[in-house]
Amino acid sequence: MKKILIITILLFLCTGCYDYKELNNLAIINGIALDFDENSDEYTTTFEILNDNSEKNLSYFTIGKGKTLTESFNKASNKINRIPFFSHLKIMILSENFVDNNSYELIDFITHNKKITNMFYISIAKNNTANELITSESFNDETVSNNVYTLIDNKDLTNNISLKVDFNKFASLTINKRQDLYLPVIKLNKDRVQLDGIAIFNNKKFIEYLNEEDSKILNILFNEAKNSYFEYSCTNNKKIIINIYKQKVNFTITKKKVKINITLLADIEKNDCENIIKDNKELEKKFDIILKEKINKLITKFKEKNSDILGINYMYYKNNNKDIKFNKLIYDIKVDVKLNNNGIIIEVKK
Amino acid sequence: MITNRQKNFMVIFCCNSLFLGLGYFIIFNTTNNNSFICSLIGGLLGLLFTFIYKIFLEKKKDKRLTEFLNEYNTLGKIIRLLLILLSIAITLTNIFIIKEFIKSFFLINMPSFLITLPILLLIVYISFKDYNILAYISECLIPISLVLTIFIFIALIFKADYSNLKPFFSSNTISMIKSIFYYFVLSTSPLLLLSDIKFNSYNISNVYLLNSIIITITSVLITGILGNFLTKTYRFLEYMILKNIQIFNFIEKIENILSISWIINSFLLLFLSSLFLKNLLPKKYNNYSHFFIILTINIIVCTLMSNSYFELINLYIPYILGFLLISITICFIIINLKHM
Repeated sequence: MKKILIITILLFLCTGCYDYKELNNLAIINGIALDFDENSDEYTTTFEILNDNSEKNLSYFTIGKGKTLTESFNKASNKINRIPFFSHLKIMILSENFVDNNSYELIDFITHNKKITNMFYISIAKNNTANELITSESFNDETVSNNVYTLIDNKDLTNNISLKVDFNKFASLTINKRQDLYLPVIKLNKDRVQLDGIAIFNNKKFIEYLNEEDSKILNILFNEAKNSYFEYSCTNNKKIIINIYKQKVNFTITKKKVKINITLLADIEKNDCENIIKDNKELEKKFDIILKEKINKLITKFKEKNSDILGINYMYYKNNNKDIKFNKLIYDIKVDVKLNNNGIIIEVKK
Repeated sequence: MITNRQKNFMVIFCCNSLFLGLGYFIIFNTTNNNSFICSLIGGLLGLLFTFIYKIFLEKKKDKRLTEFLNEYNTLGKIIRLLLILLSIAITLTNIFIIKEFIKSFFLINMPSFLITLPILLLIVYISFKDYNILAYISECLIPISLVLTIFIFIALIFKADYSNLKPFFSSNTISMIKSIFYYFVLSTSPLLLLSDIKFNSYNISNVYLLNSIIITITSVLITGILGNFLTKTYRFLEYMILKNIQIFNFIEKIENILSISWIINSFLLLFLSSLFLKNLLPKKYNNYSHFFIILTINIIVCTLMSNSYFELINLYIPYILGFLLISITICFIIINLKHM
């Protein structure tokens, strides 16, 4: 009798049935968009919630406005007649204004909120508000948040025009005073979301959007350029396109100089210039020069904008326990492109 | 009869368990990326303590601790009182941290009392048994914990960015000393709870050293994965790094399973402290005095101590444990000298 009593008590107390929640009662939040209006000092939070009713849309939205982030979150939550469930959160879209003014507040809010996991990507909205982006038309039978998540997660399939920044990375870059913040950009193109380069910041304030080419170059410097395509035009309409399949970047920072050694292993994807450039060595040199120029141009841009995206100061600090002004340094860039001759097709016979 | 293998396992959970939510957090908040250096130095300091402790355990021979302490009148009573206070401090810290850990990551909406109730029932059940039972449980559970720890190391070793460990010795001297002290206190003070067991002719130092290496590797992985800034943002650092485990793109989000290794250690330390408390409290009143103490601690933790008490725990517990540890060590040295 005593044993049965103990088992019965344990059954009720230790099996996790005490505070269970039915799936039907949960509002699974897939994406969040955050806007901030500087004039009215007001936050706007938009939740994209998965719809379990297959006859209707894939997702629906709730919007909350408030004077604080918490208030706007609560107002958006209160409009759902279910329990908000944040564990499946995949993407958070922020507006320019929001990042400029409220990065620290967001980190504070997320880290203190037990219900929100920190395993989601963060991106910035270009040209439109975050709310307009997340409520835009979905495609491929996916929600907007899922689309954005897939685009960022598979950035190597979209020519590396973006970078992956999850919440932990965002928090590290925001708190780090020796490296500047960067975020992947999404914008609306014919009512559909797409990736559009990288946004760079200086001292947590937005500066500018890098175009696709610069974003690809930044990926090289971050050692994430696998599957990036680069082209060289030998004549007006003839091109050689290479695809990077492996790379290695090495930074050596001294008091006055930064040496960047980049080795890129690439395949030739398209070669219209076989008659003009016959030797692979010559082609490698051409690409060495092209990429070196592009990298130099990008670094000059960072220097002009005083935006230490590469974290040169942070790298120097790690090794020397001292700070350095990254824009006063001389940059010595060495690019070594190695083209791969091996492959299934050697030459297309005409 | 407790075998040497069981003793090894008991030393492992003793050295490890106070680091969940407390040890790593305060060490990283004090010295950030230099924490692994402090763990190494603190480990060496702890090794010195284990030598003194070993001499004491050999002097005690096969006697129970209470019998041995009764031989020393006033000094014996002082040590007994200090040890009771130590076990109460460890029990309170451990129940509070387990409660907060479970409440933060597993059962967010569950009332605190319901979280601690099964733990309390288990503790009370085991406290009416003997150390042999605890040794058997350790032998069953610690290998699981060790296997999980090795799995964690293998899964995370290639994910860490080891440049985050630099610059070495960037923290100031006072912070480094504080951090070494924290490591020393939190890794060695639970070992005193083993003093009631027959530990003569057993070398405690080897396992302690092994454990110091495990904690140092964990510290390296925490810095490598979370970086220099997030280590000051999160409380359960050792849990946060588990979120990064991803093997073959399909084994992921297994942090809750892997964190069992920390819970096992904390549970076992709770069992040990309750057994120790039972054996050290005077028997002239009744056999249930330890039960009332643990129940009172539990009620205090559940009703009065919200998660804002973390700051108080972080601020005072290492110093309280440190004071008790140093006082008891001095008493042990006096006993050792008396024997000489």
